[in-house]
Amino acid sequence: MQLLKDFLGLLYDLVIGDCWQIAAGAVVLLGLGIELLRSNAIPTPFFAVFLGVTIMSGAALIILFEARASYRKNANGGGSGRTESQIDG
Amino acid sequence: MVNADVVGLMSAVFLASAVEFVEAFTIVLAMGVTRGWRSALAGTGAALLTLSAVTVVLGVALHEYVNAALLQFIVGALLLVFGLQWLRKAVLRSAGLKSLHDEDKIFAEELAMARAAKSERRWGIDGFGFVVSFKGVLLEGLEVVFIVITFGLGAAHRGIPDAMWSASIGALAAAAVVVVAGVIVRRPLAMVPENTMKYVVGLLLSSFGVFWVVEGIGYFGPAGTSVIWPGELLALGVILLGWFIISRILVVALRRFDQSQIEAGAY
Repeated sequence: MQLLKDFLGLLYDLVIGDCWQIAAGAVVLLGLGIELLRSNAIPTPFFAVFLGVTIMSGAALIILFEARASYRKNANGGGSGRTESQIDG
Repeated sequence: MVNADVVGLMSAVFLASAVEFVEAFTIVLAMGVTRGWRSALAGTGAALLTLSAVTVVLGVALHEYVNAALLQFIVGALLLVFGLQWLRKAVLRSAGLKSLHDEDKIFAEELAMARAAKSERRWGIDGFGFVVSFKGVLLEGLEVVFIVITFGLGAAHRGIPDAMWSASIGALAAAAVVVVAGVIVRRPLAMVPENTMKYVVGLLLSSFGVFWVVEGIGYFGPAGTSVIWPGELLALGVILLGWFIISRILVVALRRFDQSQIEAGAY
């Protein structure tokens, strides 16, 4: 049981890591993409470009807001706002 | 004659894997020096056996039983999430919000931790050295397996010949280079430009992720087939350029944010 827990922990670290907002954001953006595709809301020739740009913009905003939120959290905790840890990849 | 696509595939896998092997090497070296080479190498061997089993099972299952478009979607989604994690850390490092990855510092931390740990020997093997080596190699190795499988399957789907073999050779070459270099210098490979490599790998993984996930999302559409990018493979270069520009914008924005917080006396 402990071995399974450790292995699932490794998988979590591998795929989700220390920023779950990225994985959650990807799920939302891809769900949106599937809905758009099914509804034919975007003409086929533009669909790939539209979805690509949407994913990239969405991911960029997630990284920006998450970084700012982490910074404020660290600063409020008495730190400098910056992350000093080495052993996290 | 070697195909340019194959060289590109092998280079991408080599670069991404080398970073992981350098990190695994630091851990094994620290355990070997402090807890004995027998324990460190036994842990490494056990992890490599586990990784081989995972690679065979996952690779065969995905290749044989999953629809091609769905496979692209799964591979693309995983690469996207995985790549964005790398890119995020690279952006934070470039913006000065996260300390640079330093193998010498990590090695010193690992040494201190290993020296402080109690010794529990079984069958002549030190438990701490074995477990830390095993976990370190397994975690870094899983990332390599993940890279090999996703890049290999994605390239195979695009018709690149022997893509899985090429991806595996890229990873094995990276392992060989890191181990040989490590044995020669007998210390952590701190001279490897890891931070730059991690940035490049983050850009590559995120670009392949977007490219494949958008193609694979077609599985959920009325036709159930892949979506085609305008310009096909050329779109990949445009996506890569797009990520590079976005990452630089993020770095500038976060540096300004950091500066504004300092000026506002946030800490």
